[in-house]
Amino acid sequence: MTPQKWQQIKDVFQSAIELEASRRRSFLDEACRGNSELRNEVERLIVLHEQAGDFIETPASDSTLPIGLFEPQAEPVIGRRIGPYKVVREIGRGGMGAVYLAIRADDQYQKRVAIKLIKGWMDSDSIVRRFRNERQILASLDHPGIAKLLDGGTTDDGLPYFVMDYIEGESINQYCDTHRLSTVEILKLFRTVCSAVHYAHQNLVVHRDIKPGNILITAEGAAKLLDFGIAKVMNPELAAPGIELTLTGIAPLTPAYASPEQVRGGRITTVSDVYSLGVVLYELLTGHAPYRFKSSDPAEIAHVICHEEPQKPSTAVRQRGTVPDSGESPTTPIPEIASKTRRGPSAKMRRTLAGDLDNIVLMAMRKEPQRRYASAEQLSEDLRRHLEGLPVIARRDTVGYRSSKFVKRHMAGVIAATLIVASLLAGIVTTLWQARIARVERAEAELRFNDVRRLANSFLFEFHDAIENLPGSTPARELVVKRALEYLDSLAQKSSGDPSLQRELATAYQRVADIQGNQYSAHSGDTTGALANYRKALEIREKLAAARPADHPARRELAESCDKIGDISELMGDLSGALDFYRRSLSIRSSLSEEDPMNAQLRHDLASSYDSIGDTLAKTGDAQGALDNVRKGLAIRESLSAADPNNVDAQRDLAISYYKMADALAGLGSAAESLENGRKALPIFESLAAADPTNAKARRELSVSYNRTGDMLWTSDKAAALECYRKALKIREALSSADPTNAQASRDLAIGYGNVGSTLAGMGDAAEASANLRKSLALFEVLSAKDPTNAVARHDVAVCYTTVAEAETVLASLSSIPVSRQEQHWREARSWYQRGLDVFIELRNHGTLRASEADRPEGIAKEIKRCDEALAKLRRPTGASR
Amino acid sequence: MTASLKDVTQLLVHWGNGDKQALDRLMPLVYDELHRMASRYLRREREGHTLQTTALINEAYLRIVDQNRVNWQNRAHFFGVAAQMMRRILVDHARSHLYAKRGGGAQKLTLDEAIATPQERDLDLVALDDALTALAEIDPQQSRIIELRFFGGLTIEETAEVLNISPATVKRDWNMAKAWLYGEISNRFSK
Repeated sequence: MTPQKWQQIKDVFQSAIELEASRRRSFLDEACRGNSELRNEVERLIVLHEQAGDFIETPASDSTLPIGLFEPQAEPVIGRRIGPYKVVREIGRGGMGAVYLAIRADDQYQKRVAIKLIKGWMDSDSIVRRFRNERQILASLDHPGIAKLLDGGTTDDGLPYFVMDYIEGESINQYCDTHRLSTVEILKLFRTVCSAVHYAHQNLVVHRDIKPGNILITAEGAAKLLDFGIAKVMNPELAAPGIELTLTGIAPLTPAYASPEQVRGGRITTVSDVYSLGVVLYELLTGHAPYRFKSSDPAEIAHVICHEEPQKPSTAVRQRGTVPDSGESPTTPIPEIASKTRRGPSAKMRRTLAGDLDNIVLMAMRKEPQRRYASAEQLSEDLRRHLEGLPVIARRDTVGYRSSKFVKRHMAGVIAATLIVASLLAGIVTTLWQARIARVERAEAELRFNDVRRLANSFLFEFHDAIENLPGSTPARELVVKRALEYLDSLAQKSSGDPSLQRELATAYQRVADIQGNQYSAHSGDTTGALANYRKALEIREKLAAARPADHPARRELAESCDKIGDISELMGDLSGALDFYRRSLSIRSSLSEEDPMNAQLRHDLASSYDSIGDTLAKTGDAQGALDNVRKGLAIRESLSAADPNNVDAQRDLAISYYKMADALAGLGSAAESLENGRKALPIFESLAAADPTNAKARRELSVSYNRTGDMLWTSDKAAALECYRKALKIREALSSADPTNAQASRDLAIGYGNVGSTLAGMGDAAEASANLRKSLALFEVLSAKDPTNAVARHDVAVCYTTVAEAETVLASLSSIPVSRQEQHWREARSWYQRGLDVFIELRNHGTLRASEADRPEGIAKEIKRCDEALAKLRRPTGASR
Repeated sequence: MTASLKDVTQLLVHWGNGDKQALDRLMPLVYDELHRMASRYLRREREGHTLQTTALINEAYLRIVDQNRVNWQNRAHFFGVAAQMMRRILVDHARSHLYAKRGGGAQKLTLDEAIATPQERDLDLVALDDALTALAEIDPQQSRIIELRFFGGLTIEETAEVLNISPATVKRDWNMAKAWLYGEISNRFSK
C-alpha cells in the first residue's frame, strides 16, 4: 500500500460512508470506474467499518487490568443471585441504578422483594459503610405505611444493593387519577401518608426524597412509602429528566419536590419532608406543579424554588396549561389537568380549595422551614380539622374566621363561643411553641451530623456523575472538589470549638482526598491535592487525639489518616515516606489493640497495617522484611478467625493471607514452607462454600483452591492431585450448567477438564485422559472463536492441542492394542501436534508467546518427528518389529 | 520526583519555539513519569481497580508541568507526547505481562491458573501496536489520531486541538483507521 493509493481510498471511502447505503453503489460505480482494486478496498473498509462496532472506542487502559486475586466480573443481573435472593426481572430504572423484583430462593413460600442495585459507583464501600451505620435505624422502622428495608450489602462484583419489601401498586398521583378520587378521599389517603412520614420522623429518619413516585398505593388502597432513609445513604441523583443540578455543589434530590433549604444545600430536617409533602398535596389537589421552571438551568430552578410564591391551589386549578381558557367547558382534555374529571367542574373545585386547603398547602410549602408545620402530624391534623369542619391552624387568625367555623359546627351554643375560641387559641400557641423548641433541637442535632457528612457524600456522587457524563474531561471534577472544599473551609472556621463537628470535618477532608487521589478507582488525578487534604484531616485528628488520649475512636481515625497518607505517598513514589506513615499507623493500632485486646476490629486494622508494610517492603526489595510483616498479619488473622469462626469475611481474609504467605515464601525460595501455607487455605475455602452452598462466588473460589492444591501436589503425588482436580471439575460443571452463557465459568470448566485430562495422561490412563481433554478442547475452541483476538484464549487452545496429542502418544504406545490402532493413534497425535505447532508459531510471530515457552515450537516439532518415525516403523513389514 | 517541574516545562516551551531537540529530551522524562505512575497502579493487588489513561496523563500534567508558564499549544504538545508514551508503556506492559506471566514457573504442562481472568487485552494491544506502526507508514495522521484517542484517552475535540485539525477531520480519519485496524486485527489468525 502506497500513501498515494491510500489517499485515493480515503477520498472515496470517506465520501461513501457519508452517503446512505442505497446510494453508495452508484457512487462507487462512478468514483472507482475502471479501478477494481480501489473499489474492492473501499468496499472491504465499508464492511469493516460496520463490523468494527465498539472496537477501540474505549481507551486502552480504562479497562480493569487482570491482576487482582479475585476480580469482580460484570454479569447480567436477571437470573442471578444477590445475597439469598434470585433476581426475576427489572421493575424500574434510574440514573442511580435499577430496581429488580427478586425472590428469596431458599424460602418455601418464596418471599418477593424489590432489590435496588446501585450501578458502578466509584466508592461502593462508603455506601455500604453508611448503610451499616443507618441499618439499625432503618430496620427498626416498622410501620404499615412504610416499605421495610430488609437488607443491603454488596454483590459479588462489588455493587451496593438494598433489599426492600416488594410493593405492588401505582404511584399516588396515578392512583388518584385512575380511581377518580374526590378531594375528601384524596385528603384521607394523604393523611395516611403523613402518618407514616411522622412515624419515621419520630425515629429520627428523614426521607429527603418524598415524591409521588415514592408513594405507592396498593390495590387495597393502602399507601406505602418507598426508599425511606435511602436518600441519606445514597444521596441519589436527580430524578427529573433533563434537569442537571449535579454541579451546583450541593444538589437537591428531585428538584420539583425539593425544599428551598435542600436546593440551597442547607440543613435538612423533618420539616424538609413536610415541604415535599406539601408539594405532593398541591399536585394531587390541583393537577398542576406549583412551579414552572423556564429552563433547566440550576440557578434558575434554585431561584424559583427559593423565591417564587406558588399560586394558590384554588387559582392553579383553574389553569389549563398552555391552552387558552375557553370558558368553563370541560370538553378539551389537556394533559396537565387530565385528572379534573375526578374533581368535578373547576368552579366547584375552586370553591373547595379556596380558603382552608389553599392555606394548608401553602403553609406546608413555606420557604422558611420555621414557618411551616412543625411536623407531618400537624399537617395531617390540620387536614383532619378541615375535613371535620373545625378551624385550621393554617390561616391568619382572626376571631371572625374562627367564630364562623364555630357557629357552623355548634349552631346551638353561640354563647360559649368566646371562651372556647380563647382556649383553642391558647392550645394552638402552646403546641406551636413546643414544636418549635423540639424542632430546633432536632435540627441542631441533625445538622451537626448530617451537614458535613451529607456534603462529603454529595460531592462523592456528584463527582461520579461528572465522570460519567463527561468522559475524559476534568473541569467538572475540579469544580465539584473546589466548591466542596470552599464550603468545608468555611464550616471549619465556624466549628473550631466543637470536637464532634471537627471529627466529622476530618472525615469530610478525607473523603475529598479519597476522590482526588484514590488509586483504586477512577480519580481526579490530583495526588498532591489529595495529600494536602489527607494532611488536613490528619491535623484535625492529631489535635482531637491529643486532647483526649482515652478516646479510642479518635485514635483509630488518626491511624486511618496515617494509612491514607501512606497509601498516597506510595502512589507518589515515596516508599520511605509511605513506610513512615504505615509504621506510625501500626504503632497507634498496636497500642490501641493492647488497651483493648478483645476488639476484633482493632486487630483487623492492625493486620492491615502489617500487610501494607509487607507490600511496601516487597517493593523496596526487602523480601525478608516483607515476609516478616505478612507473617504478623497472618498471625492476627489466624487468631481473629479462631475467635469468630462464623465470620465469613475473617475466614476468607485468613485463607487469602495463607496464599500471600505462600507467595512471599516462594519469593524467598522456601518451597516447602510455601507449600505448607498454601495447603492451609483449602480447608477454609471448603468450609466457606459448605456454609453457603448457594453462593456461586464461594464455590468458584473453592474450585480455584482445589486446583492450586492440585498444582502443589502434582509433582509429588499425582493421584492426590487428580482427586483435587476432580473436585474442582465437579464444582465447575455445576456452576457452568447453572450459568451457561458465562464465559468465565466456561473457561473455568475447560481448565477443569484440562487439569483432569493432563493428569490422567501423566498417569497413563490415556483413554479417559483423551475424553476429558477433548471436552476441554471443545470449550476452549468455542471461547476462542467467540473472542478471536484474545491471546489467552488462543494460547489455551494451543496448549490443549498438544496435551491431546500427548495423550494420543501414550495411547499409541500401549502394547496391548493392535498395530492398526497404534498407527491410528500416532496419526492422531501427529495431527494434534501439528495443530498445536501452528498456533504456537502464530503466537510467537505475534510476540505473544511467553518467554518460558519460547522454544515450544521446536519441542513440538521434535514430537512430530517422533510421530513420523513411529509411523514409519509401523509401516515396515511386520516381523521387523518385535 | 524524577522529572522536575522546571525541566519539563522548559522543554515544552523550547519545543513550542521550534527547538526539535527539546522533544528528544522531553520524551524520556514524560515516559519515566508516566511509567512510574502507571506501574504503581498496575502493581497494586487490590480488587477491581482500574487505570484510567486520561486521569493518569492529567495527573502527570499537573505534577510535572508548571501551568503558569505554558500556553495551550504547549499543553497540546504535552498531551501528544504523553499519548505516545502511554502507548509505549501499555504495549510494553502487555508484552512483558505475556512473557512473564506467573513467573513462568513450570509446575507441569498445564493451562493457565484459573485465578486469572479471561478477559485479557494483551494481544489486542500488541497486535494493535504493530498494525498502528504499519498504518503510520501510509497515513501518519490517522495513526496519530488512534494513538491520541485510544492510548491517550483524548476526546475528538482534544485530539483535534493537539493535531491542529478540525474535529470533523478527526472523526472521518478515525472511522477509516478504525475500520482498517479492525480488519488487520481480525485477520491475524486467518492469515
